[in-house]
Amino acid sequence: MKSEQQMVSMRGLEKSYGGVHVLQGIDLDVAPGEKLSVIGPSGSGKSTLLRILMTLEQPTKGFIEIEGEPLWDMRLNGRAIPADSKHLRRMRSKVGMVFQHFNLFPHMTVLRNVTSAPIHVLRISRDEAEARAHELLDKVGLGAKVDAYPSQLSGGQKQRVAIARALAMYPKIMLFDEVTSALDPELVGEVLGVLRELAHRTDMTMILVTHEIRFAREISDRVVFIDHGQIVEQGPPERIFAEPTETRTREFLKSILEA
Amino acid sequence: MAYGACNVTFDWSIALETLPALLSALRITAFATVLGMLAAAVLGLVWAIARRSPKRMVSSLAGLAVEFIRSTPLLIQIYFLFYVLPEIGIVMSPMFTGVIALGLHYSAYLSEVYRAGVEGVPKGQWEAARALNLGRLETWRLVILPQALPPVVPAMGNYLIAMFKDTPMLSAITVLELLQTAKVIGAERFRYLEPLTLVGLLFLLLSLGASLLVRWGEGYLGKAQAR
Repeated sequence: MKSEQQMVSMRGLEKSYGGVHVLQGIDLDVAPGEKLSVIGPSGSGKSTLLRILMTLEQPTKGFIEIEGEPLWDMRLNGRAIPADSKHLRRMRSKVGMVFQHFNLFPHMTVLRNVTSAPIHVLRISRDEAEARAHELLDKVGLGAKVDAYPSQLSGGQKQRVAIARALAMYPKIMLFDEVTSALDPELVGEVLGVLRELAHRTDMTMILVTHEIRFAREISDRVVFIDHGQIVEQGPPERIFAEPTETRTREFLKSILEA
Repeated sequence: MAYGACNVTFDWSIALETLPALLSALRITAFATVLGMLAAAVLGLVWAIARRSPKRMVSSLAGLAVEFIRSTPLLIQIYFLFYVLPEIGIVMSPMFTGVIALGLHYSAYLSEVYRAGVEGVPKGQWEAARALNLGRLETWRLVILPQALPPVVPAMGNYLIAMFKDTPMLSAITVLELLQTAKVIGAERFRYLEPLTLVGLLFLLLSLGASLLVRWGEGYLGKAQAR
């Protein structure tokens, strides 16, 4: 056992779809409680990285550990074998994810969106789940919307419900996949406000894929720039944004700030 | 020939006399339809879910079974269940055989209907379910089916009507449903015109009524979806 256990550890992670190499050998460690922003051009593989961590997709090659335990493999008699669904479910319980397009359950009220998984997966009582859901929804400023259906909410409100829904599962790691990209500009602020609170007030490990450069700079402990499926550069946000060493990083930042 | 044709005039008194027997046979027809539909609805769902199984064996077998059932005539399936199964020691009453045959046959069609419904559920819903760590069963029960089923209820209604109209095939294995009863009455009285006409009319009335219900249901569900 190392004295400093990494929350997430990736080695040589690769992903390809029919000859297209989306990720080409990613080595990355994320410390417990760290707030990490992943930036890069679209199609650079940032989202795939999150999706593999959430077990929505399987890596082609490489190795991932969460809290020192392999994610996609398990050990049997000292040998590594592909993870079975039981192992995946146990590992998955450590991770939560918020999606670009919210993916709320449209046939459920806001309250049921937030309570369903805790009741059916964590097996906590309905009363307890609802009490906790009210608390979380209050925190994201939607305490008055518990009985609304997702279609009655604005994009910003939907995304805040999605955040509450993910938090209700007590994840140790939260993944945010371009969570403000699908929002009208005037609604971005309310979602970033919630993220800011989370970043400052909790010791959850957070990995954000984002185009909100100013926001990433404000809340991240570290920024990773990915291009063509490789990590080009990483470091504290002050340095990455103020004096990037790589040309590609500079060009990307320039293009995104001009937009 | 002209004389013979004149002889065939619709006799209302015969029609009225045979109506009670036909109405009671209608109960058998309705019973077979409802039970057959229930069996088809459950089995069709099993096919649809099996076809999406991550296990290749399960999904291919289910796909093959559905294809096989859809590509062979219902009447042959009915005969097979009724005449061949007893040879391997499985003996079922005509009515039970008929319900099983209707259920099996229509389950193949309903599995396609379910599949269309399931494919209409966005991929993001599956991903959200997985991100929330829901198991396979909970994902289907809590997330996918509640979204996949309402839009396909009208299509299911149409298959219910189709199945209703296929129940006369059960007369082939002596189930005393509408057609078989009409044939029996015809043989007794040497008059087929009135009982067969009445049977046709009963099917027409009920099918029309059911179509109207389905259309009304479509509108109702359409509004519920828009919510």
